[in-house]
Amino acid sequence: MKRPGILALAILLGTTGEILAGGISGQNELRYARRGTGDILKPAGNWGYFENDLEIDATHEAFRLHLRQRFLHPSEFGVEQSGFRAIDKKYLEYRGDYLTIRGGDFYRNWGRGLIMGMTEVREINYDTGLQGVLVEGAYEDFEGAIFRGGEIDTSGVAQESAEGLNLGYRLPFGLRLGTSILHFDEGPRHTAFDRRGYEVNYPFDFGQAYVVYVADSFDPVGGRFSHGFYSALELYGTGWGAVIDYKNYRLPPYFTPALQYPPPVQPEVTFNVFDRYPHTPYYDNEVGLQTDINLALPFDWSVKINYDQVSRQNVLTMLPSYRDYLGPYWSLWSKAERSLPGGDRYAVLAGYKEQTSFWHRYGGGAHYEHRWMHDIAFTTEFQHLWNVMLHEVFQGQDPSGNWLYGDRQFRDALVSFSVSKPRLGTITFLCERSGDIYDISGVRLNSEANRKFWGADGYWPSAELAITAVENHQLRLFYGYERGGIRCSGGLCRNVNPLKGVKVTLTSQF
Amino acid sequence: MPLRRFIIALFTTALAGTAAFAADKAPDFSLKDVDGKTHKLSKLLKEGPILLDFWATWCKPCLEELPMIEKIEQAYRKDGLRVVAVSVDNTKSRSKVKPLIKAEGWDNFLVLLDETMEVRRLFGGTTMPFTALIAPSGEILYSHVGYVPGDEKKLEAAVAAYFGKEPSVTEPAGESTPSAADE
Repeated sequence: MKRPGILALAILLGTTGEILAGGISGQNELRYARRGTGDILKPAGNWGYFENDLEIDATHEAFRLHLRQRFLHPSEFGVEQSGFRAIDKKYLEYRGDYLTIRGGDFYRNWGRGLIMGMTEVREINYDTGLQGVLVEGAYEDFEGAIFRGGEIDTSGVAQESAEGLNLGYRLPFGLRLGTSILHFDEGPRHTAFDRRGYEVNYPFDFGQAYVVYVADSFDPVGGRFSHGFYSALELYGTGWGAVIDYKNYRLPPYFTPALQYPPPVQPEVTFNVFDRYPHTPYYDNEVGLQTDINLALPFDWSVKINYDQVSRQNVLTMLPSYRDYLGPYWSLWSKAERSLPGGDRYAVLAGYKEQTSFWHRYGGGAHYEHRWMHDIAFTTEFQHLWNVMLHEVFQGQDPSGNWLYGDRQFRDALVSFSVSKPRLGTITFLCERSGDIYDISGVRLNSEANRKFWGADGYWPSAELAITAVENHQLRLFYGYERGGIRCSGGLCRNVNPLKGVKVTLTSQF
Repeated sequence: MPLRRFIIALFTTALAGTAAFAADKAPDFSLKDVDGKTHKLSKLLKEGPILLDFWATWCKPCLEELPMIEKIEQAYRKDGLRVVAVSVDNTKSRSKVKPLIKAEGWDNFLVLLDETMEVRRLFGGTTMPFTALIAPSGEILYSHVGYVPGDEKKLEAAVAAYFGKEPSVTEPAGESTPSAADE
């Protein structure tokens, strides 16, 4: 048997706790899923996952040691990792008053992610972190950072390495100026290139303005601009706040997540059934404008409104276009919510998305939460999506074997009920339905297996019990169907496998 | 074989839990606020106890919990309680943070940014929301992961116990109050 390094690591850390007088904190999360027998997703093999994530931070005076071990046998995404090789993140850091030095793994965002962006979202197996050396310093109004490191992508394959320098200075009246220089070595995605980045941030009484611009020396097409621009204007007053985002990308195209291409744009809305059909940004050619408004209204009401519009550009243009040949896309969302002093809450949400001459999506939802005996909460949620696709580009057979051309419609819906009691737990019943017969990637999914899990008239009922009787320890038991397809977290999305079976998750924080 | 590994992993979890003895002290950290100014926890604690809350604009339970935290903050502000709301919003949603804070009227919160969630991990894990009451000595008096309606009662009980008061915001008159020591 391969002895899992988890055990040794846990014992080691358990004993070093007394040596390190500073303290130890961390989390252990165990996730286990067993696919049900007799289901029809046989081509996917004996699919299930078993993961254990142990994450430890030990501090002693100005030093900090971070270790993470991910035991994957396999992971939800099919990755195998065991033994000491599973210690996939570690760093040692010194934190002085003016200087911080780190060796090991690190994540940093420069220029709100446009100059350089690193992030990890484990729920969707997205990781653009670097391993190397990072030195950061700040003294009065000056700040700076320098690094060198190599990127390991989510499949465990080494991608390019990078090095960079970032300097910032805050002028007396609040204006902050920043500049960055980066060099990306040759990797599987591109040849070596340099990047320059410039930032300006100006706070004022009722808001702040931020601008970042990057220019690359790398141009795979030739004779084209190779730049990225992003700005955010934040405005606020008593009971209201608004942000206006503007982006203009003419950057070299990459087809896998890369630290050069984080998307510094807002997610539109957190709405399960709509998140399955997100707009995909084109970093090589896109101009966009997004407005997000928050309003606090009388009688405990609040309203959120979001408008987003993007398109490609055939020449360098300032604003997005509605012209069909530029692939325009726009969406409008609104959410009204009322939170009553007694704890009851209700909300309604409605939205519309359109990609001109291709598809239209309408949707809405409702949320209601009622407090019972000041303690027990009953929550119900309903979401609905209606999709009308015009001038269908695909053709194929429907589940009955009839050939389909042209227009197509489908509906998605989600209903959930939950009851929660503090110090005890929450039980949730959820059912999702879809008439969609396409994967998000546009691949025709009309096989028997896919129809069952993704396809026409599909239902995905499930129940989950979350027990939190012991503080900082949570046990979650899931049984039922979980729809595959796009999953989004924090605005980042990727496809995941469907599941019919049981999931056990034990999370302990210490 | 999977069962064997499952048991080993459970054992590991239990072992890891034994390290909890050391987690009573809040790890010191430095983060920038939404205006770019750097704040250090140890310096903030010199002014009084801190109610630390990790949240995000896209996290629904967080947005349900924050109004409750605001009520608690209003009730105990005169006693010296200060709320430090650490947003883990990433580059996609960061620009929403301050407009949301202003619109909701949470002006008394000190809002810090932890885009890479490194500071959140120092308190164990990445689950949101995470709430902790930290005494000026750095001792963590109460901590809680997640939010379901009613959790604010436990939080206020801990805050009230620290100030030697009876809960007045979340606890209807005449009901028993859970002791912070139970946590």
